[in-house]
Amino acid sequence: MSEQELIIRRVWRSQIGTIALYILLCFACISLSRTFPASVVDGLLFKISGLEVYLTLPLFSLLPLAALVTLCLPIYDGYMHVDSRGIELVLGILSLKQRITRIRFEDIRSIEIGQSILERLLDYGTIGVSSAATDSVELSFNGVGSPREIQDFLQSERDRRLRVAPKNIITEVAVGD
Amino acid sequence: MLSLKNILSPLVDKKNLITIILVASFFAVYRISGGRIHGPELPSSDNFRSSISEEASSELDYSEMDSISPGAAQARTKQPSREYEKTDSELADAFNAPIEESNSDLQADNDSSAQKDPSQSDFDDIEKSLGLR
Repeated sequence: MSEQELIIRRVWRSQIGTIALYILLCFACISLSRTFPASVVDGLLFKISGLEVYLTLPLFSLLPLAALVTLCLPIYDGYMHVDSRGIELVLGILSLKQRITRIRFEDIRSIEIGQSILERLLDYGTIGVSSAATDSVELSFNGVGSPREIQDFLQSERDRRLRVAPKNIITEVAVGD
Repeated sequence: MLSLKNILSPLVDKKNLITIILVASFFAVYRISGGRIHGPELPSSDNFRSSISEEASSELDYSEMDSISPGAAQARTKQPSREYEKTDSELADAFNAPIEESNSDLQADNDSSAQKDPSQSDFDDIEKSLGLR
């Protein structure tokens, strides 16, 4: 593999449930704000050198805002980075706690894929990579598009590394009595 | 390197394009729901006309109140006002009456009070009823 890098992020179709919820909350916000005009509050936002800025806030608009943040956060909060040495998973970019996991191609023992019925229809799923060090899946990344292609790519890179790596010949020296 | 291509490429990326569309939709929902960011509201022409009409109606109310006579105003109130009206009319008659007539009336009242003391007679009746006399 050349020095090219591959960055794999979560796909938008993996958030289809949250997208449907966001659309529903948008319509609910509009209808509820018109049904209850008292829910639209008005107040001074800030004041700078005599210039006053007022904000008129429909309280029901906080619902689609929360759904929007929940929708966009997984897309930008983590990614999987594949380079010539191995796989690196970075999670929690926008969170308080960030976790980075790296596995070399030579240390990969198995690559697993998890997909539900809906995920199979929309061609996205969860990729799990286990190494020789641990029994459990060490690296897991959900919401990835075309997981089978990514699995084939990682396995081919691992096999290439194992073929290229020189075999260590151990010479036993018998020590006679 | 800062170039137009490096600036626009993240925006036209499919992933970021969907994010921009979603954020724009949220702001559209926010505006439709009645939200906005604005400075202090200045009186617009419509607001000015409405304020003028309100002032005019209030002035009409005051003018109506000025045209109402005291007797007519009190007639619109409830039952107890009639007593006040009656009292006002009696007072008006008393004030309008000549001074001699009022003096004779007062003298007659004084004479009647001097001749008979109704409280004393009542006291006598009570003593008789209790058997104290």
